[in-house]
Amino acid sequence: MVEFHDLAIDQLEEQLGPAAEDFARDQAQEMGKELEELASDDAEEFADLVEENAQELTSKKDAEFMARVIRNF
Amino acid sequence: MKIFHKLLVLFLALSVVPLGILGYLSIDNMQEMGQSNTQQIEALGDTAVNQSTEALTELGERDIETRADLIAGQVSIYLEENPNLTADELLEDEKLQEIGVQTYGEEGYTAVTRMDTWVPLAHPDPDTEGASLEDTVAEALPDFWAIMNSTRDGEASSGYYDWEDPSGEVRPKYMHVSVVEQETADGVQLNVASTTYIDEFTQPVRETEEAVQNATAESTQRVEDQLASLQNTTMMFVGGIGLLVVAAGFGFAYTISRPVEKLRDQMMSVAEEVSDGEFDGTNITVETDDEIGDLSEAAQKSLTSMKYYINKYKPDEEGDE
Repeated sequence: MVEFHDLAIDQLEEQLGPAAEDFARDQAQEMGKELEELASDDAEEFADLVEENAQELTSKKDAEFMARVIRNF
Repeated sequence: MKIFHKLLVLFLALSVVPLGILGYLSIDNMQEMGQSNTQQIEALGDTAVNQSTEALTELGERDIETRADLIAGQVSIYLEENPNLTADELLEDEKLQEIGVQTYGEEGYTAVTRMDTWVPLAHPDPDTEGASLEDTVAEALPDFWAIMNSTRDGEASSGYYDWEDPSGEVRPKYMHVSVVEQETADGVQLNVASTTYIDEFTQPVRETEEAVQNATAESTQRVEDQLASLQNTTMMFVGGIGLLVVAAGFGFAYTISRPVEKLRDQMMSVAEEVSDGEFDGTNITVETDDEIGDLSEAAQKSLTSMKYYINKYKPDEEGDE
């Protein structure tokens, strides 16, 4: 079974490249969790953080797109 | 040399050059074909005229020979019927004049000559009678004399000699000399010569030749016109295709080189910004559905990752990181 965090990393990698996993780990840490602990229930909060923080690295449009996809996992 | 120019040169070399060679060869072949057709038409006309001329010449020769043989036979019968006539008497004999001198065509005639002294006994020109041909024409007309002299052994002879016509033009005459079987009362052998300008027989061919030449010239002109039209069409077609190919070459080179140049420009810009320590606003955005697009996307991801790590580990902002 594919884990939530794997799906999230795959999605983030589309825009962020090799830094996707570290970026995802930072967001999880900001939620007070380890990346591997994330589950579908955390999708909304994780997506919000991605939408906010990814805009520093990529365009707002791309950040919103990544967040929208993650929310639907 | 830029990629654009390399691609353009390669494209043109592989398309315009073969097209040009093809066009040149096509036009060259057309010219050869036209020349060949013209030559064949002319050769056909010449062949027809030459063969007709040969046939009519041969027919004329047979006609001249037949007349000489016929008159010789008639003279022989006359001598058989008048066994007491001597050669000298025949010179004044009106019947011999009537039998021996016959004209045909425009200039053809027959004449009777005694073969011991070569003095004409019957001739359309009375001035020639009484004088030996050996003295009057043997030196001036050696070909004539050769034919005449060949009958000395009793065999018929024939051949050509040149004769100046009243207009001053020298034209070939054909002469056949038949030996009369019956000798005169004083044992003199006679011969009958039949001669005329051979071109009297080939005159119809010369008229036909003129018609053939006109038809040949007309056909040749028609072929040349059609060939010129075909060549113009080919040149226009090849030229048009050439222009399209050149335009396509520019488009092809531009389509390939433009994304590469754009990617190069953006990556050089990024490299400069990275070297200055600031590249927040820089993105690599070459969006093509090919390898260049893939390369651009990978470069953009690497750039984004670099931004992330630089931001994350900036000493000023992160403090202890």
